Amino acid sequence: MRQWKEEDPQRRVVGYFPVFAPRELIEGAGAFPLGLHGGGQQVELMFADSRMQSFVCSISRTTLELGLIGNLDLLDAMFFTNICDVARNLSGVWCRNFPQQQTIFLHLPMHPPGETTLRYLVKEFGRAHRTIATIAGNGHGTEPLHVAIAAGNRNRLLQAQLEQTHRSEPWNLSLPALYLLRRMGSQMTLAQHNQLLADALGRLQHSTVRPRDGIRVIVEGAFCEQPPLELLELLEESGCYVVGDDLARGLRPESAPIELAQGGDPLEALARWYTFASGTQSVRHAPPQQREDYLFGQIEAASAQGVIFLNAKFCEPALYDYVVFKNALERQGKIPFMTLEFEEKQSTFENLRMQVETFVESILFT
Amino acid sequence: MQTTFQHQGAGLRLQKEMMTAWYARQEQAVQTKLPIAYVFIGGSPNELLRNFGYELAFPEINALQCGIKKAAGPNIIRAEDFGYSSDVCGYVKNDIGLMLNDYQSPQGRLAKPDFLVCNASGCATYLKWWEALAQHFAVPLFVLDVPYVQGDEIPAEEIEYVEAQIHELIELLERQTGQALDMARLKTDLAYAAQTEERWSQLLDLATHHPSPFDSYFEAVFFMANINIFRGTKEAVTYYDEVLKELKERIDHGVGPIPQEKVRVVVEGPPPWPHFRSFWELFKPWGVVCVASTYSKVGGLWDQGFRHDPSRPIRSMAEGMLHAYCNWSLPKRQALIRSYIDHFDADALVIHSVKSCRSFSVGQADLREYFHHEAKVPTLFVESDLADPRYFSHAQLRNRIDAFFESLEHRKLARGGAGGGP
Ligand code: SF4
Ligand code: SF4
Repeated sequence: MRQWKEEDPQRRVVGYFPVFAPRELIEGAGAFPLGLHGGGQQVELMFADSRMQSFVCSISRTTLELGLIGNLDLLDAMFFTNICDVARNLSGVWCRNFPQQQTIFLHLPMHPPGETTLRYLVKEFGRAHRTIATIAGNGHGTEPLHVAIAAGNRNRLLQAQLEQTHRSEPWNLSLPALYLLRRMGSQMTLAQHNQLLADALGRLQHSTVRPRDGIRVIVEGAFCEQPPLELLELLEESGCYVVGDDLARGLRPESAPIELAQGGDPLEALARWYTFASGTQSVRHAPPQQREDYLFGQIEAASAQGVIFLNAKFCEPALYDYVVFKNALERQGKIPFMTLEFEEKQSTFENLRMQVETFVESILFT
Repeated sequence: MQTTFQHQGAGLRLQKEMMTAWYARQEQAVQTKLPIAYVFIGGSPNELLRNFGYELAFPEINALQCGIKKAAGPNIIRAEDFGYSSDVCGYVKNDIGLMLNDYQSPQGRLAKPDFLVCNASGCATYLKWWEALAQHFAVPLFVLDVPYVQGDEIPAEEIEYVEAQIHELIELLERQTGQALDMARLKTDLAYAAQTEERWSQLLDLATHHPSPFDSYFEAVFFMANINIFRGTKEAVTYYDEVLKELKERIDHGVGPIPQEKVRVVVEGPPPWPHFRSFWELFKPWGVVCVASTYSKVGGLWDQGFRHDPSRPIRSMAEGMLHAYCNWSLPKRQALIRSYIDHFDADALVIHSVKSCRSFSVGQADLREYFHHEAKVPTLFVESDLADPRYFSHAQLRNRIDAFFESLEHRKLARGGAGGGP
């Protein structure tokens, strides 16, 4: 990425913190959107610990650490949204520690979808677009936005197709493979990602891995901080087919396309899509019934036999929604569930493996 | 100079009367058919809800009261048994614990909500909290979403967004109650609000005196209850008139909250309610007086000049909602604290970081970096919680507080100031 940027001094990179960042908006303003999902297991905290208390989620600390050790100095701007108070306040910490980068904070509306919300969001998106376009020296024309939205729509479609394949033949496309394909989207343009996804879909047509026994589960709760890959592998090794998930939620937008008519206003189309069609998320207000409907919808769509809650330690949005989900499942009394807590930098999994195996057995043998 | 005290305790007596009557109204709400609206403190639409006959209830204040009356622990544990993590906000868990116990509290039985207004200014957890209550009580929930204030200029669309939501709220209230908005009353109440805000700001500014006549943290957190709960009423104006008399009388007599003021501090962060008294006691032996605090601004930053304005009723309500302390970005919070240090002639900054409230605490360690290393303001950083009694480590806090003020005292002595710790 650094090299790519050095090849052309005009190139601009906008980093974004999960969960949701409108990649179309960043690309459409002429910058490269680089998704940051923390430091995983790679980063030792040397400086961030003195700036973030120990009761705060790991992703916020490792992301800050990456900045403080100079790993992110290629960024021209950093994009945050109001997913939670941690991310919101991290934007302020960013602002002070990295004054050479522009910190962009977008307040996504929490008021229920409607004209008030839409009108506001069109303007917020417009403001963010102008800011990034200015950084990118790109003028404020909307043509690149049209192109980015078309690429974004194709991305949604390809991801939906991949997920469909994964759901119907999870032995042919494992969860870690599906997840990595999704995560690659954070490191490339929408068009490049589309190419990668299309190639993967093509190759999958010839895949003939033999099915094995496994229970079908969905995984909920790891929409922002990401679990180590070993943990996802462990789920499958322990006898699960994870056929629905909310991992890296922002990189896997709802499949409904952004509807943009010829000559239409792309910012309005993007805002309309986010307001009305971007789905239920833990980091967005929803009436409790809607959250329950979302969970049962996921279970039904995946024909899941169980739910694994995979909550990032200290992640408040996940931990609050867990109560809603857990109580709904208990009331319904048909779908077993288990709860795991993880940290991105975790490196031992034996306990978790045992818990998952016990869960799988309890479903298989009752 | 006056030789006798005439006004001491008057504010407290009046506050007690007002609070007792308020809790009694809540307790009898079912019998008297008084509809109850739950709201949050920061930028709450008090005047609007009263206009439609609602009595206000503030679960944040219930949590605070449960904390201070040592009733929060069992509530929190009840909520954890229900599924809430030990890592989420103790205020929420206290309230869920109350809810699961039919709202039995040290204040008697608290009122249940008929209407939930989630004026979400400064905290994302508010949404989750009210969502849970809406589900439990199956009552209407209105989310009044307030954008986060980042720079000095608030974009017009953000104010318009809040304003549009207030109009939606009015329409909903009109449908719900079958009454039209009484604009004349709203303007009258907003005028009371402005007078209250003016007096409250005058009160806070009295801490510029040496010695300060009151503690702007340990005492101001009680003075602030009236502006948060009763703002928009004549009684709130009267209350602050009384407190102002009381504090001016203290100035006339040269007395303050402790026998001898030796160190003036600014405090950032909420108090540890379950251990409020013992926390204060840790500072008193060092002659510490807080001259400005950020916690007393969680309802609104009226000290920064903002006033409700009857000539622009809805617009000024929208603006007010944006200016709650926790809704200000960290750079703005940092600049505000910096200005407090200068304006109130403070010697040091105390940051009390609480686990429950990420809205307050994330970024505080970075504030410490700034104040300690860049602004060269001696800064004490201590941790506990505002609701959960389990996170208060008395011995550890005492060690840190003693070490900090001892070293500060040495520095003051070296510069020729007053000294004398415990
Ligand atoms: S992991 Fe959770 S708490 Fe942390 S930044 Fe992400 S959403 Fe916020
Ligand atoms: S996180 Fe802080 S502001 Fe939010 S409800 Fe809890 S104590 Fe209140």
